[in-house]
Amino acid sequence: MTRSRRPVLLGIFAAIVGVILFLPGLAVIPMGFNGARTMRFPPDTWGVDWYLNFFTNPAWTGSLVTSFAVSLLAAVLATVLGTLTAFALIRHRFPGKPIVTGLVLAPLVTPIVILGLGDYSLFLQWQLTGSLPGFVLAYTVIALPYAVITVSASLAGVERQYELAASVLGASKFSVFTKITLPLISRGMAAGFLFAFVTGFDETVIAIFLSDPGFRTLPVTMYSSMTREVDPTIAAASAVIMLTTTLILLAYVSLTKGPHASGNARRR
Amino acid sequence: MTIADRQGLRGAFGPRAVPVGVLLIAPAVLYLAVFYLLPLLDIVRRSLVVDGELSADNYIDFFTTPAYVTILLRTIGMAVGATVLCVLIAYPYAYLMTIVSNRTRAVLLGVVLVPFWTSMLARTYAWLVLLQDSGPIKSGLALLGVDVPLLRTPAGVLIGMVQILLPFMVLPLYNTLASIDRRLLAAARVLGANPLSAFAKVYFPLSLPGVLSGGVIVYVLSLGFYVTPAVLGSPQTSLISQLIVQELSQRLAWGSAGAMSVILIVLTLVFLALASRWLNIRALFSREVIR
Amino acid sequence: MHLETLGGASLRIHEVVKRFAGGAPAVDAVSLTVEPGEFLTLLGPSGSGKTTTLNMIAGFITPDSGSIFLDDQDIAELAVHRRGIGMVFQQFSLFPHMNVAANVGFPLRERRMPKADVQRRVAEVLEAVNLAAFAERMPHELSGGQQQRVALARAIVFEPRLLLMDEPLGALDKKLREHLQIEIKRIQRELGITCIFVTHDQEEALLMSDRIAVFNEGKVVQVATPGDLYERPASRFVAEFVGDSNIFTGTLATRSGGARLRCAEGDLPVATPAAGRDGDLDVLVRPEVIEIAAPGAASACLTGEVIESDYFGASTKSLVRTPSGRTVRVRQDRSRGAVLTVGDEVSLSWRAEDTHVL
Repeated sequence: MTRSRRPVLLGIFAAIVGVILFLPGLAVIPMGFNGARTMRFPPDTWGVDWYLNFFTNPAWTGSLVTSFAVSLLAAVLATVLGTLTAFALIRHRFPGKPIVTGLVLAPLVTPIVILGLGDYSLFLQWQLTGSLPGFVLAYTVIALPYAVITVSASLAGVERQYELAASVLGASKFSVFTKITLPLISRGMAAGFLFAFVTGFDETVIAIFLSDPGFRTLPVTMYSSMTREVDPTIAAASAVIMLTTTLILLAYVSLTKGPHASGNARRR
Repeated sequence: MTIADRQGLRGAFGPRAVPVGVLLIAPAVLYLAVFYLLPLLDIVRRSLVVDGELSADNYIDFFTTPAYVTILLRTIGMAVGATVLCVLIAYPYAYLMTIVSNRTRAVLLGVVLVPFWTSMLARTYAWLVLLQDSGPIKSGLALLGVDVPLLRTPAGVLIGMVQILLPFMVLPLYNTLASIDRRLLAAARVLGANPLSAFAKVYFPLSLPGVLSGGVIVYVLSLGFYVTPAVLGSPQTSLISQLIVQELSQRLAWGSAGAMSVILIVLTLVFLALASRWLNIRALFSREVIR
Repeated sequence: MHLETLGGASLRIHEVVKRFAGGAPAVDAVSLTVEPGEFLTLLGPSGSGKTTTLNMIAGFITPDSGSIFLDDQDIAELAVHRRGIGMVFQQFSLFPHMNVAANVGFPLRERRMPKADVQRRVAEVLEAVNLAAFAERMPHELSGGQQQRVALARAIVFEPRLLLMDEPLGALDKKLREHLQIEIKRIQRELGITCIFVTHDQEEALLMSDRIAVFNEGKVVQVATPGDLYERPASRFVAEFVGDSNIFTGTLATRSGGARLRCAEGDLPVATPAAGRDGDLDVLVRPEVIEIAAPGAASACLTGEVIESDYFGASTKSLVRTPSGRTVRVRQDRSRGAVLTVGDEVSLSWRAEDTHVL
């Protein structure tokens, strides 16, 4: 159905919405270039002190490294578990599939405070608070649904027939998996990994529960700074996080814009 | 499912599907049992055990404290408000996405998705700075003659929440809207319906499943918000997540915090159960309408 | 380009049965023997068991009972990837993440062939299917016909002695299909490879096969050459499935001058059936053997009114309704007289020896 009139009103509306969605993200960058220790925006004076502080102050750099380590490990674990789960859900049968699916996706809709409280409660008893293993174990739970969803979507698009064809042509089961199936789901796995990483990198609430002075992630450092004092370093930190995640995302999108790997063989 | 799947073909993974399936799903199930279910059970335990005995005291205390109940009601209210706002904003936006060219649509989609993946904390902080009394938004509104504080008000919190929740509404809604056959509208017009009527009687009912599924997601997520209300709000706008943290951090009241958590979970589950039943009925309804 | 002759395997299927959840068996005690180098088609409607049988030969499905012998070796327990059978699927199934050369070379690499040999062999085979220039292309860049030729190349590159084809031309348009039918037949003959071809298209089967096995409801109802199948179908089902048909039912009456069928339409001349055939008979009269003349012709077997006439270019197919109310299909070649018009009264006749008693 062609429209003879361009939707002007809607366009303006969408533009406003777009601005609202983008504005805070973009505004945070100049916020960090404030010359003074105030939150005035736009800043009265300009300076790079706060960006420098972010990259030199051990409190900040330490928590940045911690965030990276925690998110990376959790993403790996989530991707591995998620891939196994995706195969089980898409390719195989087992009893209680709907319940298991619900269980796997449940962390997505569980209020994060409850996860934090529960993890804290349990990890206190197991002495896992304020530690790398504790964080990784907790973050894998919330990252897992993303990995399952992306790998499942990817796997569902891989026609069984490719594997059958490979099998008939002489490939052993192992060969079929490594040379046919795995390459075809690699995009789903990469997407799952990235989503899992970003989820962990940005996670604040569980981190608040599980952090202690000796071990804290970047969001915790930012959050405690945010509610207690005026420190534009937070803006610098925010800008750095945002640029990093945006760059990773754009890199992924451009890498995967090539010929669609698991596309349908039938072309009309 | 291809013929291959239907006939239970051997293919690459061995003749019997069931044992392998169980093997593959076991790690995730075990993992979640230990690191997801166990923490939840621990909270329940703490909420029900007072001085070494099974007791409902924590729950009774909660419901008999007016301040607490107010917070609970406020949380539900804010969640409803955020959901409604999201629907109102996302609907025209998603509709626009269905009628523009592919390139423009990609841009619109990107505008929604890119913030989605940038730090929620960073964006909340940005709102903190933008909404402050001496900030640009308030100044801008003052120029228009509107003098209303934004930070530390429910409005401010809602703005922050909606900005974060909007993508969750736009995506499922767009999916549904995109699948509505535009020719149905043309058919309605040809049969004599004016544009408003065509929208109300044909388009809107068909879009309802998308509205509802997006609405469910947004509502459930809203219930659990912590960071945004904590940063942008005031003690007068506290939501239940904040209360839970406060009970633990300031009073070390595990039982109380636990009880509140359980109430929040139950609230979420009940809503999800109602929504899933209602969504199915609704989906049936929209097909009834066509027939 | 001339490919080396590979020589074909012999295949023997003995009393194979396969049941799926609940209900009648999908494959019900099927037995077939395929000679080396033979092109055998499994023909039948959807759900008749032909694809299931093919999948059992390939090894994707295990038979519930019965055995399958490839060159006198029982392959029932042999894993799919060890059977050395080439296979082409309806949906082509080219690996989307590999280019044409990689796809075609895949079976050779899996057999640990040295790289240089792989390249040489791939080039030979691509040359044979006229796609040498497309070696670097990705599957999604090819048309349907090209993809299927790559699939064929991939299936024969490792010199299998048995080739299975599961409705490989179903996804292609008519002209392309005809072209590929000829290609496939040519390659199969040159290689001398045994080929089992599944299709529901009876014209395709008649064109390509040395013999055809007709399936219905899990059983093989007739195995014959195309000519025998068309002219002497074993049952009503086969007669109706392969080609257009007119089947008259009645009782046999012998007269001087030959056998006649007494039925609702009258006394019709039919071929003399085998001795001992009695009682109710079905008799097949193919549309093309029926002569059409003006009403009142002396040799008329039937008269009727033309109720439908469809023009097919080289021929015209028409429906004639007899006074008894049944419709008869007739076919006229363009060279043989004026086209029938709806409403014409005509008389129909045929020679007794052109009919077939089912």
